[in-house]
Amino acid sequence: MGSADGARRVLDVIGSCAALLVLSPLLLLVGALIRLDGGSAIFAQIRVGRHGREFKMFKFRSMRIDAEKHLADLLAANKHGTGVTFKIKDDPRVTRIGYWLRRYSLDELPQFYNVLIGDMSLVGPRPPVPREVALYTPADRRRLSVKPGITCTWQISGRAEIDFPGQVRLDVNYIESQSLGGDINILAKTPRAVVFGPGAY
Amino acid sequence: MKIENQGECVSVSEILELTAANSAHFRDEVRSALSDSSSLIEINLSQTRFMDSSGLGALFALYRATAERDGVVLRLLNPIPEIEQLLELTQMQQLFEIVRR
Amino acid sequence: MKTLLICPSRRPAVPHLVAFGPLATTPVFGDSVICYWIEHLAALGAREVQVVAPDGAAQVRAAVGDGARWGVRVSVVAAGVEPAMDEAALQYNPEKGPGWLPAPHDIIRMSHLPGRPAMPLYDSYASWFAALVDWMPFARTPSRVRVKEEQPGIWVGSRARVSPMAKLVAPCWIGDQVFVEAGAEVGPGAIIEDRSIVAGMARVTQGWVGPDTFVGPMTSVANSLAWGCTLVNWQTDSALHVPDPFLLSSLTKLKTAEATDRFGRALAANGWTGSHSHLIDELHARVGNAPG
Repeated sequence: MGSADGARRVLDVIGSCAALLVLSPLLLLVGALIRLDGGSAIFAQIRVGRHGREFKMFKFRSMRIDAEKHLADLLAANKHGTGVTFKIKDDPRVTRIGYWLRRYSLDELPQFYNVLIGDMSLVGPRPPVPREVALYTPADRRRLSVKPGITCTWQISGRAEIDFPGQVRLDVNYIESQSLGGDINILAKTPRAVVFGPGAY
Repeated sequence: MKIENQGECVSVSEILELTAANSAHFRDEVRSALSDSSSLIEINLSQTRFMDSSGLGALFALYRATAERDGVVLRLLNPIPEIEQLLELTQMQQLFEIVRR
Repeated sequence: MKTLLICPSRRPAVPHLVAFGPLATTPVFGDSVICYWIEHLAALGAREVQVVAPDGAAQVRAAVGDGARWGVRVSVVAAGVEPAMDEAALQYNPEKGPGWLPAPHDIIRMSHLPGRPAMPLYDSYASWFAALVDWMPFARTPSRVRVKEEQPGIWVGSRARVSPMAKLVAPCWIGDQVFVEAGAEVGPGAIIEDRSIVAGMARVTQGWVGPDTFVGPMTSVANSLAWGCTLVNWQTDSALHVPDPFLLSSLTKLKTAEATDRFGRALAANGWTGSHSHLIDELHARVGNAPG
């Protein structure tokens, strides 16, 4: 019955519908530009959602079609030493248009569709990949107790600069104090952080 | 429902239920059976299978009636376990003398 | 590493607990019995959990899913009867293969909570309640969120609302989204499961209140298990269906504004003039309406 969860779902549906409607010209334009560059516009990646349930997360494709083949080589150049998360600066597999999409987080826009169909929420911890979750301790799994979100607290405070234990700590803090008002506050702060944030590589 | 007035004791028995259907009647009948010489009201609940808040209300009204007359004891005889649970839930078991015979 | 988890079939000593479905799925501190077991086994190194369900396999499956929640693979198999330990060993692991967790964790009969074999769950309602009170400090497992030990022995859900004028006495557990009104007394020995309401001047001592349950104003749940309109005294095993909703009832029935208003009028008609409006506002908020 959880009326708290019910209210969030309503906010998610209304927000994602509004976002998809308002952004539809932009979405169509970006999709067209990627296709002109060659290849499909939308890319589905398996991510882990609430209670460990895997789902297809949609993004605009920002990497070369053969990007996954280069993955093994690049694992060696992992910046975060803890072995769990993986991002590196100046990823050579990114396409020209992909670079700009990522700079302004436009590649994440299709996730509003994931929110609409209930895989994700507007606000929540970022969804990890299965490879990462396989190494989680029971305490790490606390991040999976809510639906993942398009935006979250560590996105507005410092994004990928934070190491894994820091991300878990921030996520758990968020989950423990999660409220509709708090979410609306985070949503209000997000666009600025996305455009100007330093750690968005 | 059977009411017997034996001088000092008013004895009520054969009460199959105490619900919205009959509680007012029960309360009125027992109250009118009280006389100045009554010192004990004994309500035999051994056959009472169902009771709800109306029944509790009727018992409470009788409790008030006896409280107004000093020295009159209100006794519930052999309530079944479920009725006792209801009395405990509503904290009314403190108001009555509950006896098993 | 593999392990076998045997769910209990119905137990004659605690017949009313099946109101929640198969005993393995009874809600306990906001999670079901079998979920605590799977988390415990995953921590011991299990990667694959085979569950044998002699009762309600479909509901057990719904409660555990495919095990993704714990990062293990869970499969639920229906069985006609609850197998004894040696029968189960013969049927599922006759060669004592190396891929299994070492004994005694290779085959588990869920007759107690993890690591608490001295507290049988199903011998009687009294043993059930004692096992729950014993489990209270362990209910906050490593993967648990939204419950904090606010004071020694007093656990409160982070989305619960407890009036500063309510009295909490250790040991007690206030579940997720629980509402405790002013003047209520919870504990010692009280467990209030998720989304329930303890109205003003009510008392819960040595008692368990199930999820989505309304404990009415000025009532006393003592030595009892209460859920919906069912009240079981765990000392005497007596079970009562409480006829009046304003005393004890199920909150899942209050799904509309009309039902909530009727309920509010019943409260008022029965002399409850306490923080009545707060309670009705709370009920309306749960139905999804603005306060009337």
